[in-house]
Amino acid sequence: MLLYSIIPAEEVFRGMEGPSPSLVDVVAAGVQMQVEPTGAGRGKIVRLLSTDPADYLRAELQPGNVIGWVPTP
Amino acid sequence: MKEFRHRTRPARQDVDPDVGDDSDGIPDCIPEEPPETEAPGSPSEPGVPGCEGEPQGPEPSGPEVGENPGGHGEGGGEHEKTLDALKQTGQMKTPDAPESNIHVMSIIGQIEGHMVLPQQNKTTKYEHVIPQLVAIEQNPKIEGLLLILNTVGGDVEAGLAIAEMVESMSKPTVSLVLGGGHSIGVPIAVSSAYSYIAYTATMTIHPLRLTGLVIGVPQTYEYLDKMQDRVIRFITCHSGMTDEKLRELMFRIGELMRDVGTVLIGPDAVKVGLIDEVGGLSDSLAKLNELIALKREGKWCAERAKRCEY
Repeated sequence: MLLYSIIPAEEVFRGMEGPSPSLVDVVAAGVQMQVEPTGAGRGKIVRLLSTDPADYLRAELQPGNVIGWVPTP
Repeated sequence: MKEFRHRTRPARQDVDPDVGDDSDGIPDCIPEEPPETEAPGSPSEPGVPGCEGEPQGPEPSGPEVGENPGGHGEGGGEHEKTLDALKQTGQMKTPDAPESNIHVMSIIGQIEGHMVLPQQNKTTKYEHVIPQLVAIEQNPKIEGLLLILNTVGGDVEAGLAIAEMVESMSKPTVSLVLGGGHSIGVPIAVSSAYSYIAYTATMTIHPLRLTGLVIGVPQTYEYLDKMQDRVIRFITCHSGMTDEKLRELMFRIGELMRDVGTVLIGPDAVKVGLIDEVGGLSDSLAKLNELIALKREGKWCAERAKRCEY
């Protein structure tokens, strides 16, 4: 993986050793996605795992939005 | 001084399907079928009264159609709907914002590749951008894409992936470099059908460097050279820059403090043939609407890089 950027590598990768967020795969709003949980049944969207391209254009499903889902028992 | 104006593609406005001369080796633009005859997957909205969902039929009236997002005839349709809603429910239907036929995608910060970067970086996640591009290419209501760039570069493969996707779209695309379009942002900026750069925007052309994830053995130089060649080839195929000029800018000493390379500011980028024109938001939208109108008339189609001898 080559980083081709004017920002020096040590600046970009600073903080890499810290704790990385735990991600869960859930189905929310009918779409499969990866979220970073911020509470029970709520989390911040990291990325979508859908194969329907139209889902990627929906404003409420953009990465970074907080979304709720029904946790599977 | 025009000798470096070596364009590998003709200016888009000159494409004329009536001129049957193929001596330049570039295939003539094939006029598109009118949208009604080719709709296997388009949404089933032609029956909706008010013609908001009506596909742009065989009566495009030049640029003004593009400037009125939501389509012609929308004024009458909206009024009907509002009256209907009022009669039936006693409530006014709040008018929806007209659906835009142009989508805008911003490429910002670092272009994140195979590794998730730490939090302090603002990133463009390519795994989200690429399905979005697929959706834009597929959706019949979206007619053009405006790409806004303010990026410091990032992962080579993710950047080239986005650039190749934009380059291979059949719909008109216009890119606008604001602020900065550095490093791997350069291929993305030139991948669109037409490119603009703001007067104060900068683009840094510099060589690829090792980032500590590639081990340092003598063969590493050849590997870097190959990677660099990929990027150079893409840029020269999609802009008016020659290979020699690009390499000369890339390896210039004395301009950048920590690196070799060149900083191109606004008009400089146009002078060397990298970007098509200096301009801003209104210019890029006007150009995009112009290309959309040309495409509707069948006078414009996206040219692929196949003519470049890879």
